[in-house]
Amino acid sequence: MSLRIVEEEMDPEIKELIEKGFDKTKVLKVSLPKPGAVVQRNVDALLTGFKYVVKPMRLTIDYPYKAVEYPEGYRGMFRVDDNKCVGCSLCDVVCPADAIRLVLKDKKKVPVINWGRCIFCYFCVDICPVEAFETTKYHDAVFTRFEDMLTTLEEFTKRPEDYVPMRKIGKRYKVVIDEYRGLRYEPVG
Amino acid sequence: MVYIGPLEIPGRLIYDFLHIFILPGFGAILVLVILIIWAERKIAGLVQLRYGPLHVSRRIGGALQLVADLIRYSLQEFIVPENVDKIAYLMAPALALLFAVIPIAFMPTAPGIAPPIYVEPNLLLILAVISLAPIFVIVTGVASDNKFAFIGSLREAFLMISYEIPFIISILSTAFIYGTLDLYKIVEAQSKAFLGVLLNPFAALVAYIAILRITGRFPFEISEAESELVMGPYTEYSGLMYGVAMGIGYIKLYVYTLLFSIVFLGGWLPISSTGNIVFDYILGNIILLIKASILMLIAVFLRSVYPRYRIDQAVRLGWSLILILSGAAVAWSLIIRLIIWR
Ligand code: SF4
Ligand code: SF4
Repeated sequence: MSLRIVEEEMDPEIKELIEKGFDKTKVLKVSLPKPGAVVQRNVDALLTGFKYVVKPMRLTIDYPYKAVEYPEGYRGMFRVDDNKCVGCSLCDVVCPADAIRLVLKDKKKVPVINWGRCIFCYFCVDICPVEAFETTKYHDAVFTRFEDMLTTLEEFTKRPEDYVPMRKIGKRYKVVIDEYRGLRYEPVG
Repeated sequence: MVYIGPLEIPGRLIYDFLHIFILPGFGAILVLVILIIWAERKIAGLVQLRYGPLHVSRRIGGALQLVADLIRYSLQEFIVPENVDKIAYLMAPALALLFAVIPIAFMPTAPGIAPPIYVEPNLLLILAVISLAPIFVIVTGVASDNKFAFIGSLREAFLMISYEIPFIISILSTAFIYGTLDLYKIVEAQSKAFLGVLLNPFAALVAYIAILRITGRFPFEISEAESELVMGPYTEYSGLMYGVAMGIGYIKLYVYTLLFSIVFLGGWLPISSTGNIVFDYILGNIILLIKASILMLIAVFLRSVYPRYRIDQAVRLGWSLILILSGAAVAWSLIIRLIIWR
């Protein structure tokens, strides 16, 4: 390879050094990895791996026995208040996942949801002109059949914990930023 | 050379049964494969800062995860695709499994007790049988009528040739030092001098790296590369056959590490024959299994540290550095045999 190409690809810092009068060959040599570095890097990688095996530093949480307590405004499951709803169908139109379907109730159209499709984007909640949706922080739903994810109007007007089988969560934790570990979990309450 | 417990003693049949079905044989294989796959997942979990398998049998850290997996595999539908070569498709994994476990019958695993099938050059026989297994992996890939399986089996063929030759050379180079092809005498020779790793470190290094490749551990898990080839040669298998296919690599790992610990780590060595067959059988086998388990743990630990080599890198490594090192192992053996240890 000609030196010209090397110079074009060169680090600006090294270019500066050469311009200051450093020996070109020496500068280039220093920037290459040393032959022994291969062994060194392998050993480093193995030791780092071994360190974590001996001294675990877990960043995940033992869900569902422990779970993170979500902040206010978390986009969890929601219900519709069919008395507030005016049947404008905006939620059905805006839903990107096509999760909302309108059903007739007393000659008015009201939404029902398919939890299997909903991506919890909350477009429907935001667009509703009368704020007919009531939101919760729950998302720990367990369905055993696909059909159960299609709600009826009767179900969708209830709060999710009243008709969806929820996982029993042992303890709630909150996430704390930690300087050393990155993340830490602290029990709530 | 005197073997206690040759053909005429009354316990021979019982011992053969125990050897094949319990301690170094199928019972130990089942338990160790379950534990080693669990350990592999657990170690990968720990290194990636997460928990690893835990939900099944929480008390013992999720160790029975693979049992749950096996139950699931056996309840799943077993689909035979329409265009596969049916006989080859069904037979190949079974034969690969068979040829992977047969060598156990030739291995002496306890002091003073001959293996069920005892022939003088049993090291040669083991190498011959054990190197048949990859052929059936290739058959699997060709029979599957699937491009991923086909590419996987081609990779297996390339790598088989480039790593099995150094493996066999390096194992046989130790025979120069010990002056025998009988595993039992090899262990005896080690008890009189040093362990094989110290006598010929080059051979041990080459053999271990080749074992990593032959059994498909990282960084050589190239023929089954999940992210490129789905499951390599075993792509078309489902249900219980998938479980078997997944287990083959681990069973091979077990057999190869047994061979490695006999040739290089002195087998059952700190103990020698006491004359009490029951005691010898249990303790000898357990010591051997502990040595093999440590080697297996190191092999599965590498999964969480190394990425996967590209096929050309791995083949180049096999034909250059590894082959040269195995040549060095032969030279080293000759030097030791002819000059130092006459
Ligand atoms: S949250 Fe998003 S995906 Fe779910 S129903 Fe509303 S608009 Fe559709
Ligand atoms: S946007 Fe609100 S008011 Fe309109 S149909 Fe949906 S829930 Fe009813």
